[in-house]
Amino acid sequence: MDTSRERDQSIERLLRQSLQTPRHDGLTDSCLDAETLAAWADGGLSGAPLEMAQSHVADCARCQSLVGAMARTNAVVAQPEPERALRRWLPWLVPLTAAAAAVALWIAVPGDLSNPVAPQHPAEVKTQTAETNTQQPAPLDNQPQASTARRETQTALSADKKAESQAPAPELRKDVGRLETDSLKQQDAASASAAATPPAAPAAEASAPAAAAPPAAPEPNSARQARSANGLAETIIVANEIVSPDRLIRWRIAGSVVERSTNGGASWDAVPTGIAAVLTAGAAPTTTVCWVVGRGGVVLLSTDGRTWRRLAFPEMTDLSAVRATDARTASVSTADGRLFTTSDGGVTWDRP
Amino acid sequence: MHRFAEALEASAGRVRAGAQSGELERYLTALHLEDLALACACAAGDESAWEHFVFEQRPLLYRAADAIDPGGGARDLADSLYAELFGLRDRAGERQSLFRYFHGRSSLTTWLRAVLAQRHVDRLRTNRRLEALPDEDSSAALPAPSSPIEPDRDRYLELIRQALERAVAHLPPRDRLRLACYYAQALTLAETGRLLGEHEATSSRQLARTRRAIRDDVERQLRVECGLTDIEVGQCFACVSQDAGPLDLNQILDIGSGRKESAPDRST
Repeated sequence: MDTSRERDQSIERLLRQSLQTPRHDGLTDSCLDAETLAAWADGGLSGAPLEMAQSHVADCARCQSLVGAMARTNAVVAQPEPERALRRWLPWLVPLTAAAAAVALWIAVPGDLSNPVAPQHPAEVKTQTAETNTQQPAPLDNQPQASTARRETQTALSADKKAESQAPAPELRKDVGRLETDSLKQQDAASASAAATPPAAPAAEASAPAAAAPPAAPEPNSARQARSANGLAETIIVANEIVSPDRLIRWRIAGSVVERSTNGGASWDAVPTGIAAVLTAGAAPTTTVCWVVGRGGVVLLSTDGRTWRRLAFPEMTDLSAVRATDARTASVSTADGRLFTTSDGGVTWDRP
Repeated sequence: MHRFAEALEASAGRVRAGAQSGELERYLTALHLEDLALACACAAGDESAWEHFVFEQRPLLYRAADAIDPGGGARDLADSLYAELFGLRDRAGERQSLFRYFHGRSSLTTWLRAVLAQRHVDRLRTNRRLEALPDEDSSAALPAPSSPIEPDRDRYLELIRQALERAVAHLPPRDRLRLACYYAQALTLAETGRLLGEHEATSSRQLARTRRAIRDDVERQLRVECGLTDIEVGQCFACVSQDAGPLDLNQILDIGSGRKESAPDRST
């Protein structure tokens, strides 16, 4: 045997053959307990404790089996990173987006106030919001905030342009892109609901305070654009409005709070859900039926407009959008792009 | 609230004595407080907390059990875990729940997976210990016959096996761990990388580098320490390609530890 490749294969064969041999070894005081193993798996070990754990497992067949068994279960649970990443940058995303919106207002309002504004079709609102969200540059963890703020401002200004589409900033990170996709899906779901109603009810209005004017009153383009520039934050942080076929009956969700309005958004009443999970989207196919989905596989259904029933969902994954035709039939999108459907009110779900 | 405060205090007490305030702060900041509160409430017998826990965790735990043992053998472990979590054993009139071992250093889900994995592995080890050894005259107990054509084959195999043991033993712990994950545990590169906190491409490169290092070391040992010629070294590798015999990488990886004595069961 002379070739280098064949010798490499022999080494690999030597290593692989060990798998056929059962192991016999004992438990020691240094062996990992479940909590240390779990902390390691969750990234909670660092420095000396992590080195100690790695050194021990490198020499302990029992603990190797343990980490092997643990690793095999990774695929069955939803990865928490996206939510953690979201939480990490939410605190400074809010003031940044608010500042971007303020700058956009300051620049755009004087010119627009003098112009009469035609009512905007919901489809246009949907397109505009989607464009804005696609353009919205999300912050990079290791990027200076100033540059992010500059990009946000530029994005807000670019909302004035009527370009139909524009490629997203190339430096967007994958997880940020996923967030934006979620946002788009939410907007899409909201727009789909709104499509059944008369125009002038953009989803961005959900950010208006409870005492705001009725939604039928058109708002200046500039204000709408500024809000659209802030669309990502609105979708995630502020509120997501769900309009029923009767335009007076509306729902809105913000965080884990769900509110309902019976007068077109002039006033809102909280409808307690009893859960703490962040809710992301909803659909109201009738005046009394409303579906709401959220993170961690949360699916809520109200059939009377006053109470919620939590439905069992087959996976503990983040849900980003829902479409429903009645209290029995609905389609739920997961954050990773899969679609689950039910036709029996959430008793059973068809998986992708 | 009182129980939660106690649990929090107990958790903070796990930070090593003499730790600086920054270390304690980091530890407390990283705690999964929501899960710790849920565990406390469940341990205290709060019905709604338990209902919430079962609703959220049972499907995950069953899926984890199926992932550990696709044949369904770990399902009973998952079921028995619920009994222990609920706390069927009483001590001094107080229910003893497994939740008392959860200190919030990880998510509750991850901790449950870890406990399940631990129970599974320890059960396998116990079953292996109870397996009967093969009869002395059975075929499994008989040594592999030497080939009359290659009388040096057994010697070559033994030499290369010992060289491999030494080469692996000389690796840094992190490299040995990567090797064990990939070959002994048959984890994917992605799983291996995740465990070691590196990208799977890095794991792949490091594994290739480690294999090269092992091979170089084995060849060096065979030449220098065993005094074999280049032709004989080649014959050693050729023997491996035909039949390497029952090598135990786990035994190899244990070299240097020298501390495999039985210890009290620390199931949690």
